[in-house]
This record gives sequence, structure tokens and C-alpha cells, in this order.
Amino acid sequence: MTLRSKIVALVLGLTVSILVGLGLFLAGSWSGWSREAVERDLSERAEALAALVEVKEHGGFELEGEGSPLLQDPAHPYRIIGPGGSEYSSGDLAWPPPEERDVLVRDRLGHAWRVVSRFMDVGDKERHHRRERVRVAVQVAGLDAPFGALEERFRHGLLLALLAALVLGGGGAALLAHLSLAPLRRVAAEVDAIGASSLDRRVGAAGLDRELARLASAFNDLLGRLEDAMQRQRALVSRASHALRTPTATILTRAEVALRRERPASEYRAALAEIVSAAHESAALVSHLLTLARLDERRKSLQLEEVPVGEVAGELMRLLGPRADEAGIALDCDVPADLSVVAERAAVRELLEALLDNALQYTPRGGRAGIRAAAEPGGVALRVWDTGPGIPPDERAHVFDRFRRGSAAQASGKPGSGLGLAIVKAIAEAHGAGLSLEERPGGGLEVVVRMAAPAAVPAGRGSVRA
Amino acid sequence: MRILVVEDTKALARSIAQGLTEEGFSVDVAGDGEEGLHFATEIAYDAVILDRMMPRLDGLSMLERLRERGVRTPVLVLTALGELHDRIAGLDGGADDYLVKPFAFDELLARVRALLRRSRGQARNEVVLGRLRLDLAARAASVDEGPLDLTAREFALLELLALEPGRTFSRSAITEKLYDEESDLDSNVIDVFVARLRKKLDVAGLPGADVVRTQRGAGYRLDATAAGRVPA
Repeated sequence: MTLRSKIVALVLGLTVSILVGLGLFLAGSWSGWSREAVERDLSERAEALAALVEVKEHGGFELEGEGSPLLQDPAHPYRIIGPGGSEYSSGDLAWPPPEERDVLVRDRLGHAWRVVSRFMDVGDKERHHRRERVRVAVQVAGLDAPFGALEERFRHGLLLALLAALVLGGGGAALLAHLSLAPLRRVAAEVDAIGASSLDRRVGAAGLDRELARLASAFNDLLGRLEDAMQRQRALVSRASHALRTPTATILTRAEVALRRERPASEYRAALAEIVSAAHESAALVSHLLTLARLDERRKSLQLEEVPVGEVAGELMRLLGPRADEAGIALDCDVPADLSVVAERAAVRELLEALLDNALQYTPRGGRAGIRAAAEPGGVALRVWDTGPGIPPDERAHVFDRFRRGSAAQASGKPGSGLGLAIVKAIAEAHGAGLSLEERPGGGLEVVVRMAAPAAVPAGRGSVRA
Repeated sequence: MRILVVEDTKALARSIAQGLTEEGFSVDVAGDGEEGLHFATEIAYDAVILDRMMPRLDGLSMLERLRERGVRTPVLVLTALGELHDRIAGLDGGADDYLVKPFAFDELLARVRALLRRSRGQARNEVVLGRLRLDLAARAASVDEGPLDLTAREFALLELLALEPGRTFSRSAITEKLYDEESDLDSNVIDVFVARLRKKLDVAGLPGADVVRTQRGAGYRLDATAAGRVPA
């Protein structure tokens, strides 16, 4: 159902129910009033009739005032029942018993007659002086709807008003809906016109009512956030493209220049060695980018388990040991044997490997690097440290950004994608782990990752089962 | 012709420098924008090849400062940002040409030559002075269609003189154009080159000493009329 038809239906429904309610109320008070008027009239007539009754001996009676219009009025038939049970009635209504004070009866033509019955004490004229009084029942009937024609006209008028309200109200409501929805349509058209390439455009709030201006400003806020996100994404893509193109350019240029003329084998070898190193760089970059893309995608579906930190650290020591030896760096591992974190095993490994890789990359020959882990209140702290140049305080806020390389990294002249620490950050974020850089007393860097520890209750895996 | 390469990726800078050197240019390499700015302000290069994204001072900022200092050297910007708006930003920022990484080295060479040509207001890669003809793209010289067998340095010397015939170049001006910063020079190395060049011109049938004239106390210049003379 469209908003427009809802508005029309609502306005029409309201109009009709107000009119019908009003009609019912008027009809109700009308019939109450007319009934009261009829009753009053009939009661007065009953009293007037009672005054004409002359009681005779032995319970009989006579009606005095021959020729009184009361007695001849065909519109108001009456019945009088004397004290001895004798009765007189005009007209041939099926009179109800006089104990029923106020009833409706129908005549043969189907007209409804209201009958008012009264018991009256009538003075006995013959024993007037004895002040003796006798009970007489007087019943007077009158047509129940003396204002029938008026009522009919009233009903017709109400029906006409209802029809007019339906037609006029429907049209008016449609017009109202059209007018009040026009700014909404304008906003919709403006929002429609904004595409991925025109996110800098905004919805104009000028001339809008306050409610719609709020909608427009909500749209604009959303657009702002979208634009920011898009810009960050674009910057990231352009950095990734830059990072991928540079080693490719190196490989291509090195090879082309080498092939431009005949050279001694040693020059070819040197060129090939440079090509190999640039190719490695670009391969590492691609693999880092894929890792990040995978992490971004999977952020919500981690396979959490209890990961023994010591085991993972041990694997890494064996994996990176030869490289550390070659670089002249002493590797150290200090992890309690029973320490575990709740995480995805592969991710913990990737995180520690990226941090150790970073440490080995920038720690000078003769330095040291390692992993240290310990339980802390509220979790487990994994620390990867080195005796390298560290990171100056003003660069720390951004070292975990993608493609960000610290000044020391750049000055080192060593190839690096600037993605290693971004991977660390992505993994930490996916696990809800805290990530911080700490100064080492002897210089160098210490990266601290605070991960969740397993719940302390189960002592052994077997005992958990109920 | 002396060229400055400003590029922070060392392996790439080395390759470009080697390729250009082997084409007869003398090449200096700067590893970041600040170093590049310093070099480009100090030395009158014939062209600058400038990487866009660099630590310390990025390519476009360096270019901007260079132009502020009134240096008009033609600049070719190398970039890994290939998007249209990046290229426009580069050209608007004062670059004379734009090349997206990765590029073919031949294209880089062709663009550098085109830049040099344009900055000299020259339409073709060819200089003809009388019977002497220089093909600047092929780096080859000939006399009456007979090729002159010149080394890259000798050609560079002849090119320098032939591009502005009649202008006298001092020894130090020639040194600056022919050698990069790292060359260890003997003061009379230019004289040695001139002597060899004259001898090769003589062999080809041109009066070498007249074509490459010595201006006593000033330097050398190329005499175009002598290059057109037919020996008796």
C-alpha cells in the first residue's frame, strides 16, 4: 500500500467516522427528545382525560365534556378502565394492560403507537363532600414518530453530507497527499541522482519542513560517512596499486636495460639477482594483500578454540630460527607451557609471525628479538620484542595503518610492503584483542597483544563432560 | 646531456641510471625529494626524471618548489598512480610529461628525448650541419652518409657542441654536461676527448681542428661552416 493511498484512506476514514458519529449522536438525542416530547404530550392528555371521567355507582363511569376535541381526536386514541372493570376505548388498538406504563404497540397498518398508561384518583362527584376518590386507568396512544418526515429529511441530509464528504474528502485527501509528498519526492529524486561517483553531492534542505529537513540531514550524514569510507577505500586501492607497480617496474626496467646489449655473465647475474629480489617483494606484497582481504571478509566467522601459545611460538622459533641466525639476531622464547588463549590458531600464528618478521627485519646484527607471554588479570599478554631502532612516538599512532612504513623502515632501505603490522591489527581487531606499542627499557620495540584467556573452570578437557 | 633521476626505489633508480648512461647520458640519482631538490637547484640538468611518491618530500611538492625557484628544467614524472586525476594533477603541477609505472624502458628513453628536443625547440631527432649529420635517437653521427665510429662520450661531446653551433663551451661546462657527480675527473680529460674527436673527423674527411675550434682561454665551439667545407 502506498503512502499516498494510506493518507487518502486515513483522511476519508476519519471524515466518515466523524460524520457517522455525529449522525448517530444527533439521531440518538433526536429520538430521546422526540420520545420525551411524545410522552409528555400523552401524559398531559391522560391527565386531561382523567379530569373528564365521572364515576358512577357500582364502578361505572361516564365521560363528561361532550364535544371536547380530546375525545374526538383520531390521532390520539384512548382507553379508560373504570374501577369496576368497565372500559371505554376509542380506536381499535390492541391495548396493552395498563400496568405497563409505557409501551409501543403496532396497529394493523404497521404504524407504531406509543401508549402511556396512568392510574388516576378521580373524585366521585356524587359523594363529593366525602372526599372519596376512586382509581381509574387512563391510556392514551400517539404515533411514535410524530416528526417522521423531519427525521426522514434529516437522514437524507446526513446521507448526502456523507456522500459529499466521501467525494470532496477523497479528492482533498488525494490533493493533500500529493502536496505533502511532493518534497519527499524531491528528496527521493535528489538521492536517486547521487551515484558512487558523485558522493560529494548533498541533498538540499532549503525549503523543506522540519521533519523532511531532518530526513535530508540524515541522508547527508550518511552520504558523508559513505564518502569518507569510499575515499579511504580509494586511497587504499591507490596505495596498493602503487605498492604493486613499483616492484613490477623494477623487474621490467632491470630486465629491459640488461637485455639492451651484450654483457659479461656477471652483469646478467647481478641483474637477475635484483629481479629476483623485486619479484620476492611483489610476491610477499600480493600474499599480504590477500591475507588482509581474507581477514576483512572473515572478520565475523572466526573458528575460536583454545590455542596453546607455547606450541605456536615453538613452531615459529623453528621456522624463523635459520633466518635469525643468518641475520645475526638471537631469538628468544619465554612462554609458560600451560598458557592458552581463545583465538583462531592460524590467526595467532600469523599475528606472531608478522610481528617476529618485523622484528627480524629491522633489528641490527648482534641484536636480540623474541616472544614473551604471560597471564594477566583479564587475559593473556603476548609480547613480541626486539632491540631494533624502535618507533618514534609521533609515528606510533599510524604504524598499524595499511601501507604505512615508519621512517626507520624507509631509512633502512629494506623492502617492505607496509602491510605486516596492518595484518597484525586486522587479526587483533577480529579477535577483539588489545594492541599496543611499549617502550623497551633498553631501546627497541615491544608490541603487546592482549587476548582472551580460556574460562578458568574446566580443569581438563575430559572433566567438562557431564 | 645530463639527467637527474629522483626515485626512492633504489633498484629501479639504478636500472634507469644504467640504461640512460649506456645511452650516452650522464646521470645522477637522488633517493628522495629533498636530495632531488638540492641536486636540481645546484646543477643545470637537461632533464629530470621524478618519482611521484617518495618519503620526506614527494615528487609533486618537490616539483612545485623547483618551479618556485625558477628552475625550468623539463621534468618527466614517473608514477605508480595511473588514474586520470593523478596524471592531471601531475601535469598541472608543472610536469612536462607523465609516465606510469611499470613502463617500457624504450618508452622512457623516447619520452626523455622528446622532452630534450622540445626544450630546445627542435622538431626532429636529427641535427645536420654541412656534411655532418647527428642522429640523436640512434646516438650515431655520420659524414656524407659515412658513419663516424664514436664512443658514447665522444658522441655526447659532439652532440653538446652541435646543438648550439657557434656557442663556446668552457671545459667546466662540458664536464658538467658529460659527467655525473660520482665521476673522478682529471682536469684535461676534455682536451683528450676533443683530440680524439678531431682525429675521427679528420679520418672521415672533415677538418677536425676547424670544426671543433679551440677558443683560447675560453673553451671549444663548433664551426658549422667548417663542417660544410669540402677538402681540396
